Amino acid sequence: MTRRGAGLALLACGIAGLPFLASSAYLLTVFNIIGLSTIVTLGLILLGSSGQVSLGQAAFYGLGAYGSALLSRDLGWSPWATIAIATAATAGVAYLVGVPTLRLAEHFFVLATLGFGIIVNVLMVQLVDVTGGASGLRDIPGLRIAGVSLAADRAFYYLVWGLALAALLLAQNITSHRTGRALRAILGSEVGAAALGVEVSRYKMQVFVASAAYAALAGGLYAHYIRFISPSPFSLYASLFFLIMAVVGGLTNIWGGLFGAALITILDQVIRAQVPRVFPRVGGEYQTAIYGILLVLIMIFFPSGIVRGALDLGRLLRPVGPEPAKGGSA
Amino acid sequence: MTFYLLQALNGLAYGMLLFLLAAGLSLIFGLMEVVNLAHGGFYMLGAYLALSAVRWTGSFWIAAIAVPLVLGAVGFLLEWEFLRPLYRRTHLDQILLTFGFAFVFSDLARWWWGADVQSLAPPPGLDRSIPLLGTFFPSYRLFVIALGAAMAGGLWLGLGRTRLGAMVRAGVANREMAQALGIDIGLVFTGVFAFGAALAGLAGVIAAPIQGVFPGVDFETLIVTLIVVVVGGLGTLPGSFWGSLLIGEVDTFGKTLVPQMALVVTYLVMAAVLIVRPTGLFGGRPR
Repeated sequence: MTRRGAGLALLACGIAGLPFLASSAYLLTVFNIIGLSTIVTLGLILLGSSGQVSLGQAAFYGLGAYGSALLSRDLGWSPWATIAIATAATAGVAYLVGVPTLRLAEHFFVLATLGFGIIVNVLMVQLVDVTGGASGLRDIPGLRIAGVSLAADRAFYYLVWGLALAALLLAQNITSHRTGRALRAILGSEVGAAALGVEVSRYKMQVFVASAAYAALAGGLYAHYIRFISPSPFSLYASLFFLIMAVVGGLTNIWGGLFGAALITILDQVIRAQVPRVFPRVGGEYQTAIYGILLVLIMIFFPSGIVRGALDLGRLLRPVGPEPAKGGSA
Repeated sequence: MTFYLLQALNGLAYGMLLFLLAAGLSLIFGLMEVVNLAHGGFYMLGAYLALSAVRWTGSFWIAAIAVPLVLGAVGFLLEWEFLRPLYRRTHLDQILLTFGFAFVFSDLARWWWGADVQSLAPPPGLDRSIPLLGTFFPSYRLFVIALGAAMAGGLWLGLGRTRLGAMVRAGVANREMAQALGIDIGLVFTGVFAFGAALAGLAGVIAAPIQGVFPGVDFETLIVTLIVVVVGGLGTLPGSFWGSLLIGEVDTFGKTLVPQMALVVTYLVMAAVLIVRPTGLFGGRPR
């Protein structure tokens, strides 16, 4: 078994055992949110591996949620089918967004994702007949297997984390084989990669579509878990939230995605609980400033993520000893 | 017919506001390829600061002069303290940094000025409607059109006919070459960034009596400005100007004719322009 395989097995065991250690409904909900966020963040990291970033990822998350909720609620289709359909359809939408923008310089793509995120959120609020507007959609059917409901937090926990681990494995597969080498070449230098025969825009499109599918899958699961959706969890602020999760982990580091999703979700819970206690007059709406500052600080001090930053710091603090023969690379 | 003409004038006033925003954003991009996502924040702070300044001093004109200076200073600090250390990194890092600041500005404003929609009265003398085309039109909007046109002319002369303008143009055309010729491009960029912030702040002051100011106006404005800059062509002044006028009209007529879908119409216009000319109306070589 490789080291990676061992790490993954260990992680799977830890995740499987966690509900037995911490079984309160609140903690399970938090873990489930971490699982959903992990899937979205992994998508952003796949995208980051090609040197791109999406500022509107919450829109794909929302398209998955609204698509699956509407199909299952109004047409009575099975939520499993509608999650799959909504995920595929969202991937198609990402393709349409990518066609005109990915061939242009990186800025166009970044701006397009930002604009797309905003316009999708505006449509969610304004297309009242379809989306229910700001008051959202109620009575979304829950997930069931053979007549057994997965609505309970613990049952959903195993579903979402099973899928999150699958998403992680898939992302690792993508980034460690041929596509991964192509992506790293693109990350290093697009012109260089193109000169070596890498079809830059094709690979960029593939990871973009994959990242949208990841977000839509998580969104579909979210809709059938919470069973109520409104535009606000899919706003620009949510995109910032996902972006920070990815950036904390390093934007190209798959395991960092898991770490970032966990860290930021927990931080968010702590902020929501503690800020009103410490500053009673400050409402909950000021969290985004905290995340804005966090993004600024990470970009300045830890551009390759907090994990890598901590490792670098640790290396700096290591006692100086006789250099090993092969040294000089640290 | 008169209705459409008046709407066209409204669109022109809005377009002039957009030009003040787009000119700075576009020049900043042209010089350093930094897309400043905090630009909408400068605009919003400009409008809010104008509210406070008018409350303190009682004069719209003092606000119109002081607020852009304050935002110029904010822009200077942001560039000097935060963006500058990131120049050796990728543009993506810089974009994400300004994205972070956009949210900081957004929440600071909500904390300080509250979440309500607020508006500013036009200055005395410009607060009436004047007879025009057989009906009445707000004189303040005519003032905005005149001011925008004057700023456009001033910028055009400043960029085209002065030594400083030549330095900026040289930087836009070829950064390394300009630097090799002895232009301190870093300093030029700091200046352009601060100037762009001041222009955005001025746009905020000028817009406050027309559009009002409310939480979220920063990102709303940022998106429209980005559309203008993309439609006009990144880094070109004429592109910003004609792009602003086009999008100003499209947005105004969109809001009148299909109120719920105005943003969608604007996006469609952008998509149409990009399909025909991927580098924008006035964009030069593809980057």
